[in-house]
Amino acid sequence: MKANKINGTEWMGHLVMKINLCPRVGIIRMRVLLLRYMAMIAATCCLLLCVACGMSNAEPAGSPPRIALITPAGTGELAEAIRLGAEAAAKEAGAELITVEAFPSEGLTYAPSNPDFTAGQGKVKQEHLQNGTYLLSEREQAQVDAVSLAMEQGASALLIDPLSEKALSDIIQKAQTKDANGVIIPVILLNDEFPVKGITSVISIDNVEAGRQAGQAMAVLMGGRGRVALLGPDPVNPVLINREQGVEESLAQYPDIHVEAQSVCSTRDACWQAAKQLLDEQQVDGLIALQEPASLGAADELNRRTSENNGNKVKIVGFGSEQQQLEQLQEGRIQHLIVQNGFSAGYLGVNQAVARLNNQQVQARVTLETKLVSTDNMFWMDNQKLLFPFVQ
Amino acid sequence: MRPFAGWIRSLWLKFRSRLRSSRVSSIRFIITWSFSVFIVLVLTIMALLLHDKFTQAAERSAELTTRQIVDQVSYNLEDYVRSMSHLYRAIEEHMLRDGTWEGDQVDKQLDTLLSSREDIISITLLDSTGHLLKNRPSAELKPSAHVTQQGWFQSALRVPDHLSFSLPHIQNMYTGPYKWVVSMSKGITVRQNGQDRQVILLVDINFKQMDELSRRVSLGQRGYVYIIDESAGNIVYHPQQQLMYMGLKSENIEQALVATGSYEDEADGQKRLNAVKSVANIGWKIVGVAYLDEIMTTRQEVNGYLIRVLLVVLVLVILVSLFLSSSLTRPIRRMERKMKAVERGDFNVELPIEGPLEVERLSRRFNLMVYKIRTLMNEIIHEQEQKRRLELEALQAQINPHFLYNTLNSVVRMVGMSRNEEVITMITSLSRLFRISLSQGKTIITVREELEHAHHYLTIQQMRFKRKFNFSMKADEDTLDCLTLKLVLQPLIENAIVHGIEYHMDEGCIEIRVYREDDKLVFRITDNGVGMTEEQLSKLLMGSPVVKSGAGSGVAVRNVHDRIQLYYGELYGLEFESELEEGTTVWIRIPIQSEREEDDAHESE
Repeated sequence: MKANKINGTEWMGHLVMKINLCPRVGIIRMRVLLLRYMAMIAATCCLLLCVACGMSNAEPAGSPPRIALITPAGTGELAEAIRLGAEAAAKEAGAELITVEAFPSEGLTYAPSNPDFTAGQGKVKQEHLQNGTYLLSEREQAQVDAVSLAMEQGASALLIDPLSEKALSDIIQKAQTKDANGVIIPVILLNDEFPVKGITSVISIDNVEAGRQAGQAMAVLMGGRGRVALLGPDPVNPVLINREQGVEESLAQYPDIHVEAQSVCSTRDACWQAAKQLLDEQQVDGLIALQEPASLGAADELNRRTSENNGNKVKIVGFGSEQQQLEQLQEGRIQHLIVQNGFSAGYLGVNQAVARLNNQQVQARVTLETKLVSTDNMFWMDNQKLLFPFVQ
Repeated sequence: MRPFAGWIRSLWLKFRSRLRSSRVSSIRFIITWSFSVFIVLVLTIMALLLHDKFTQAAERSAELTTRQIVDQVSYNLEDYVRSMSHLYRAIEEHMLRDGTWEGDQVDKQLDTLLSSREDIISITLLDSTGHLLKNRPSAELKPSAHVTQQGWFQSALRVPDHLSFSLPHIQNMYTGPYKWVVSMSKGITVRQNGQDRQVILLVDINFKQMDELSRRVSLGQRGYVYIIDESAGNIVYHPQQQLMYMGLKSENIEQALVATGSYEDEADGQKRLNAVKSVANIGWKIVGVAYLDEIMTTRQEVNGYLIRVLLVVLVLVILVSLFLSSSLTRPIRRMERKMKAVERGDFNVELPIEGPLEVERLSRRFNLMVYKIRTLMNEIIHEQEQKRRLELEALQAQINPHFLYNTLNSVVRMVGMSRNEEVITMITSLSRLFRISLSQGKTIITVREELEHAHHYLTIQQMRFKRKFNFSMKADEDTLDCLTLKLVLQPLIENAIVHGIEYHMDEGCIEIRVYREDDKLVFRITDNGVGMTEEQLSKLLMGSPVVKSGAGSGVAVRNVHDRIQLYYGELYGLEFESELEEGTTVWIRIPIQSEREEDDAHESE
């Protein structure tokens, strides 16, 4: 056995000697292998880094929600203020605001002579009682079409001041059924209240409260006694119904104030005629004009009477903050205006829409404050900012 | 406490054994994870450092940018205000040069000025009671405007001969749209008809210009610029003035009023960077607001990017280290499989020589080892076979029928000659001879027995050859109990008799001597026979038969030599020395082994 062991060792030594020749080959092979690995790793690195870079570039930082404002969303300067407010909110929230025009304002019978006077748009709403180029049904349709257009443009929320209950229900139906992704497009109502289901949020003033403010102001103006007439109520429009109700509520507290007749009218001229008729027939101490054209019509009538025989002191309390109304207010023809802030309406409307899109809590109703502005305080700094929202 | 500790301990042991048996302790796992953890750690530290540095730089540059923008706005406004002041002075000069403002000349000049600057809305000259003296473009002054109560009128009266700028306000003196204006007014004393008369010159400039100047400024996505009146803190311009009025927004004006340079504040839970700059001449202060979270957005982007890179690198590192470790462990596993095969007895395996250098070397060694084992196995098999064959041959040599026949013939002859004494001796020797030959199948016997065997053999031969030779045996006392391979002497004695003595004329003499030589046991067989030639000697150990004739042949001698070498190694064996007509000497060398040792060796086997 021992002999074998010795044998083996020698034999191994022999082989070891042989092996010593091999490492060079091994090193070369190793180097080739290493190079191959490194190349592979480098290639993979590059690829993955490219992918990473691509990812970072391609990754959208969350495309901004697109919110559509269907114009005209209100009347005149109010509409412009709403648009500005909506823009401000959209900028702040990082959203995109698109405005879709339901029907061109140029096509209307009343075209403002001065582009700065946008009060003409106020006529739109009441036009169906007159012989306008657009019938109500056409304008309703136009508004519904505008909603479709906005949705085609990828709007994920709608801000609208609908023309009528019918238009609104059509719009809501459209917003709730049209969407393919199973997401209902929130509809936010501005300055109007219609008893239609499916509205996400209503941004509006409290019209009853506004009416109360107007009634209260009138009562103070008349010293708590006299006769008051309402100009321009509308038994169909819920806004005006609420205002009327508010006025009546507040005046009911004054036993010496009698609420006289109501004159239904909806344009400046019609209201002028109505006021004229009213003042001719009765002794009236105060006029509460429930809508913008009514207050202008009443002011026109009073101007006429003032130029004919001085001393006719009929007080006017109106709603709105149109340019011409403000002029009448400055002249003292209109004593008080109940003013709402369109900018806030637009701002809050977009805020609500964004909140809804981000699945945050949404207030079903946002009530905007109204402010009573008089001839004396209309040029106070704060009121200037409220009444004249735009730099011209 | 104690059982609890024991329980913990057993749990730990269990865990460790689980760890050992699982893949956690494998090279692959160790390499992969240590590699990954290390690289990710390094990268994370680097990313953190980088991120910190980057953020600081971004913040600094954001602050700088904000300040620069605010400065720019302020320069622009100052510029505008200055140019308006110049304009005012020009109007003043044109209008009141001769103490009179009547005349077409003045109108014309004013109209030129008005038409050159579209941002001048109106030029109005009033007396100190608020009566209109002249205005351009001429229009009726509304009584409802109450000019004497307006701010610009009062400040002009309060500080005569000082041009004052009003806050932006609505101009309500003329019919037409209400416009936002900044009023420049100054109370001027005019000498007219020898009498000093104080008039107030009002120039209304459209605020739109300043509004746009400020509106166009963008500081990031949501940042903005607002302007406050330094004396009272009224807001001159704010992009969200409406919201502030409605109470939906508020601005930290107090801080802006006292601040210089820049400061940070917080509004609606968002940190903002404010840069403040006063505008000379007009007493306004511009405040630039930048939202820090927008600066942080870049930080977040960097964060996101770094995290993505980190993830990618992590994946990459894991892949690479998996690849690396598998490239290391694969040959090891292959080796393991091959070793298992060897374990099962399959020596015909071979590892491919490839992979990293170390693995390659290892594979080579393994292959060598397996090869060696394989050869050893073959050798052992071969040796065993040879051993068996040689022993058989030795046995055959022992019970050589020729020898037996001759011996028995001699016995018969002796019986015929009635030499009973000799017959007894011969038969006894023969029987003893066979007993030792067989010796219970052992291959190793003591020297004493071997010598006895030789003695009996020699006795029988001596009788056969009619005392043609003498023999002597002498062994050192300490060699007798040593062990030796069985039957190594007999073939050599036979050889000596058959080849050396049989054909010799003189009386032969065979001498056997056993002694120690260093650590070797030596048997020396000397005869005085015919001897051998060099050629014969050399052939003897080559295995070829020396003489074809005769009973014995060289094969037997060769057999002894082989057996010794096979059993004890190549250092041992036979050595011959011979001279023709003088005789031959054979040395048998084997290692010294005592009986005890041999027993141990057998036991250990």
